[in-house]
Amino acid sequence: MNIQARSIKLNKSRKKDTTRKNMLLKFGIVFHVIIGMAFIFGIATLRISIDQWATAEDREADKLVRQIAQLDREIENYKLKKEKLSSWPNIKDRIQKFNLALRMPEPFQVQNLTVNYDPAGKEKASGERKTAMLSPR
Amino acid sequence: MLTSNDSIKIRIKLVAAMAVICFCLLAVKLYQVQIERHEELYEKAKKQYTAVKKTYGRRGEIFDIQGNLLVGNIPCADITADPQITGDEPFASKAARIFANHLTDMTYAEAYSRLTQKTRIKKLADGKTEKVKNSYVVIANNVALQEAEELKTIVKVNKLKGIIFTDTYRRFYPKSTLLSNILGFTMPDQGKDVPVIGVEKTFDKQMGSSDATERFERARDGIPLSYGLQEADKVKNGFNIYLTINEPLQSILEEELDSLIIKWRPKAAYAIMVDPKTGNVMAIAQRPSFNPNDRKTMSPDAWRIRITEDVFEPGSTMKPMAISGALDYGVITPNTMFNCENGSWTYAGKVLRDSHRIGIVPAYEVVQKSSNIGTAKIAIMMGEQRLHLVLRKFGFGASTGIPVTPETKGIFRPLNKWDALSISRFPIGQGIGVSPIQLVRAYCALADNGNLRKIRLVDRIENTETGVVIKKSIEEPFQVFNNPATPEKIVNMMSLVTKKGGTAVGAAIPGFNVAGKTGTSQKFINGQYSHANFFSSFIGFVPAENPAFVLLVTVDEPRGSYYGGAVAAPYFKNIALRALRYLDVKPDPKLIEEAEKEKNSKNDIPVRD
Repeated sequence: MNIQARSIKLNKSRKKDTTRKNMLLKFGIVFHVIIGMAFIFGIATLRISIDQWATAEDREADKLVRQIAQLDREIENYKLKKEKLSSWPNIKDRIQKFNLALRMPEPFQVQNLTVNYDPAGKEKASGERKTAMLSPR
Repeated sequence: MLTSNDSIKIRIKLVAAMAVICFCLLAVKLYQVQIERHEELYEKAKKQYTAVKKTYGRRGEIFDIQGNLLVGNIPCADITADPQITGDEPFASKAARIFANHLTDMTYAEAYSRLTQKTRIKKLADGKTEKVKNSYVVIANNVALQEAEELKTIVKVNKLKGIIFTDTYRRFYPKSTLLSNILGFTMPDQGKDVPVIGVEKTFDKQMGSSDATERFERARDGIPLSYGLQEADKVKNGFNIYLTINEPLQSILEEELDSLIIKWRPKAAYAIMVDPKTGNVMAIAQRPSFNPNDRKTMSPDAWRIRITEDVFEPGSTMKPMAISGALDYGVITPNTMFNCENGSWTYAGKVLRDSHRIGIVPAYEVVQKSSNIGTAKIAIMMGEQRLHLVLRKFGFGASTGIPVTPETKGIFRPLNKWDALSISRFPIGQGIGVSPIQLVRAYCALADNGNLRKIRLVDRIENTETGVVIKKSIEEPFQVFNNPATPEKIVNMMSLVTKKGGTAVGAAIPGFNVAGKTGTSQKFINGQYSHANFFSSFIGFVPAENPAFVLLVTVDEPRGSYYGGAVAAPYFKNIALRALRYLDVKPDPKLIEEAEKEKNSKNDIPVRD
């Protein structure tokens, strides 16, 4: 009797153990799945955020590229304006407009000044010289 | 009887079945979309998120030898609109008012009609026409950068949609008329610059650029996606050309040429300055000319390159070449005496005249006083064969090497086609046709000890992408003379032309020895020499002993006078004086003193050629 009773108990306890085991097993699987999914979710989120960051950076870079291109165009425009203004007909017009008493120097007023400059000590060796033209008034 | 549990079970089963059905339907749809219609939908989507951007290469620029820009590309914008968006009121009138206020040459009515042009007539293959939807109209092309930027801001502020600003470049000539004939110009054609004439045309291969198409996947706002598809061709920018021209000298030359035009009101005029030691063209100009930035001034008569295309009889400017040949062959010396027959001499049945009467004079006076009879007699002493050879050696009848097309070789008959008169007429510049640049080249040989060089116009070519510069080499010259003493003799004789008693005292520059020769040639019109139409020239080099340049001034049909010594020589002096000062070539104090003394002495009447 005792044996039966014990064995019933034992059976009961064994059943309980199996359920717990199953539960643990299920929980383990779910846990792994959750971990896996979290990992995938994490990776996906990371990828998205990296893409988002890259897009933002791209946008910023593109903005800068456009700004540079715009500045290049402005520089080009100023360069051509400068060339136009520095042409002799333009200068002559200004001289006449402002009534400037400018004239060419007489040949012997022009002096050539040769300056030896030595900022890094290399010029002497290479024989480089800077020549300036003086035209005393 | 159904219990509540059974009912729940059935409902669960129904929901599950529904879910399965939905899932199946979804799977079917997914199959259709992803597998069956994949290609079609993928292409459709790709079109929406793939953008195509065309990038235009930049045409090479042209600089002078010192790097001063002569031809560049100015940034500007093309403004276009989509009438499907801009064509409704009140939008259209608002936009039209803005364009009319900000764009020169644009009226309100014109802007309005373009913005509202919702349809256009399309010509079909069978010749019929039909009205189609219009989504593209040009509002304005080549709008200046500043103007375009202002307009862009206004359009943005007013929230006007459907107006597109495209960044472009336009060929721009910052020095306007300066060197325009040699630089040439381009015509815009479908976004490309098509060269018409001049350096622009000759060096089109080097200066030309190629465009590139970029395809990329873009976000909603048009910005390229970093992880998307990106395909791009490489844009090729054109090479930069550096000419041998010196801009300040060119300005001097053109300014003086303009004053000449005002004074003598000729049909045309040209001036060329070349460095005889290298063959480099330092300055070159002609009138009439044009402003390449203003299409209204551009007529073929103005943009034709007369300096290389035109042929004229050089007249007396030909004499030094013939006489130098006689000196070189030892046929004469500078002191050999010649009877100039008091101004009239018959040869081969035709009378040859001098413009002034002289009798027996040495050869140097033949040059100084520009005697036709004396020169003809020298040529006859030399003989046809040797004269022909000498003139050939000076480059007549051949191209000069200047990289500008078209270039004439002039008119120089082969020896077997010479007649009895040729030997007396060719050495005085009659019956022979030369281009201005050929004449200058021949004088460069006289100035540089007989070294005949090719004319150089391009100094170097720069690859804008790599920075590599290709220097155009100076070719070895051809020696015209056999006797090394000849150049000095002929230069001394030519120096007398600008001295007291010469034909070009007006070309003399105090402090310098100027060697040169005047030329006055009658134009050959309708089979005979005209007595009313002349070419007046002066060509020379200075300082004679070590020339800084050879300079030619030619005036085609001047009004008032026609002698080279009176018309062209003073402008030679003006140009040369300013150029020498610019180049810092110092005068000889002894020669200044001599000039002062001569000035104070009694003035002689100048001799005409």
